[in-house]
Amino acid sequence: MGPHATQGPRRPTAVIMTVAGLCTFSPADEEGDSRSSTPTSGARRRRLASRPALIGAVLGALALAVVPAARAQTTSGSSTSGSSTASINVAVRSITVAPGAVNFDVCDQNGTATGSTLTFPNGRCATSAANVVTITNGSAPGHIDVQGADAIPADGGTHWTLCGGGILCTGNNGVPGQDQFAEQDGGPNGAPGPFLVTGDRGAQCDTGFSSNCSAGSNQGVTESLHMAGPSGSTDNSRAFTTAWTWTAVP
Amino acid sequence: MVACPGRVAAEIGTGIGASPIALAAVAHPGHTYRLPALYVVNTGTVVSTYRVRVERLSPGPGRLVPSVWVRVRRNDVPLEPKQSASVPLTLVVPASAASGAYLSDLVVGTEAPRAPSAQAILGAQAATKLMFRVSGSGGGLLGPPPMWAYPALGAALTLAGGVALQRRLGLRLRLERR
Repeated sequence: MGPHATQGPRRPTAVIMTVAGLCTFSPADEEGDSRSSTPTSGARRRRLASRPALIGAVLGALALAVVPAARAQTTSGSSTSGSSTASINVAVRSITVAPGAVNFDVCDQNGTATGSTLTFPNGRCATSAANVVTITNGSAPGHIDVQGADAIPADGGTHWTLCGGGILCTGNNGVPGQDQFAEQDGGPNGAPGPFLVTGDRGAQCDTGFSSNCSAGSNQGVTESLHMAGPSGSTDNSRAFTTAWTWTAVP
Repeated sequence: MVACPGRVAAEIGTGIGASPIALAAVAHPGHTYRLPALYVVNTGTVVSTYRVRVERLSPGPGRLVPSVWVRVRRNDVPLEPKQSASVPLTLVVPASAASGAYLSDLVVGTEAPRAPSAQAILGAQAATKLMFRVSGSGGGLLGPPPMWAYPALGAALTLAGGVALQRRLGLRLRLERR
């Protein structure tokens, strides 16, 4: 029993403390009460009669008290609410990519430049040095992954799917086959990095940040994008769209 | 691939609360829990629409979290540059869930435009860990109490408090019939 319980002027508080104190009800509390009163036999009977109810209530409360404290987080649980205002700085993991879209503007076939047009079979394209992508990690250190996606023809027909990176490229000498293509990223003037795979097969470590793809606070890199086209395309569209996505992970 | 001249001068950005989303208590099969809301912020310079999904990216021990266990109550959220949102999450643990520690990631990212553009569309995603434990039993003695338990607990405490108050203050209520 708290000290407030014995202070007359604060009796309402004493009631609250008494109720709260029942959660830690102990035999010592009951002895103290017995010593401070001299009940008559009738009063004693009433007290004895009320004791099972009290003990039952306390046991019930204790039984429920052993329920894990986070029960209040269940959607079926009840909760109380109040309002207050406080400023909280939330630690944020973030990444920015610029620009939002790029063109493969340097293409060739077997070493012969083809402008910005991908040719069959197995032409290659890349982004030029003037068309690089900048990826910047936010303030939280972490790791950067990169992943690719299907190339989707303008008419929504047969996609080209990614190969390499554990997916067999079915063309001659391991180049992309029919409706296949391969993508790699790399430094603006450096060698291409690992082959990209589609999102549902996971993501690749972006070695443009470091060999183990770790990225420091506010670290930024510029990368070029490279692709190798299919041996042939089922879809006759003249434009295909694909997506590259970088992910900041813990 | 046919290229168009020029490039889109835009910065695509995604931010997510870096603190892992964790359930403070052990989860029990067959129960539903409200997870802490997920903080999402547009760190780019253009309006983007953000989608939250569950995908294991982080290494480490722990069972894989089936994506259907996590319900995202507000998805495909459009955000202006620097605007943020809190995305409510609910964890639904099926009765057949295996016990043990679970680990996955909540991944939020920009959605690519659907219109074909003959370009490589670039996207930004950020992930934070999702962690919780599932108990071995299907909500036995230590399972969540039913709804009626809370008012019952309140009634029990009130009754006990009244009895204690009666004893302590010597209050008596006497009824007489005339």
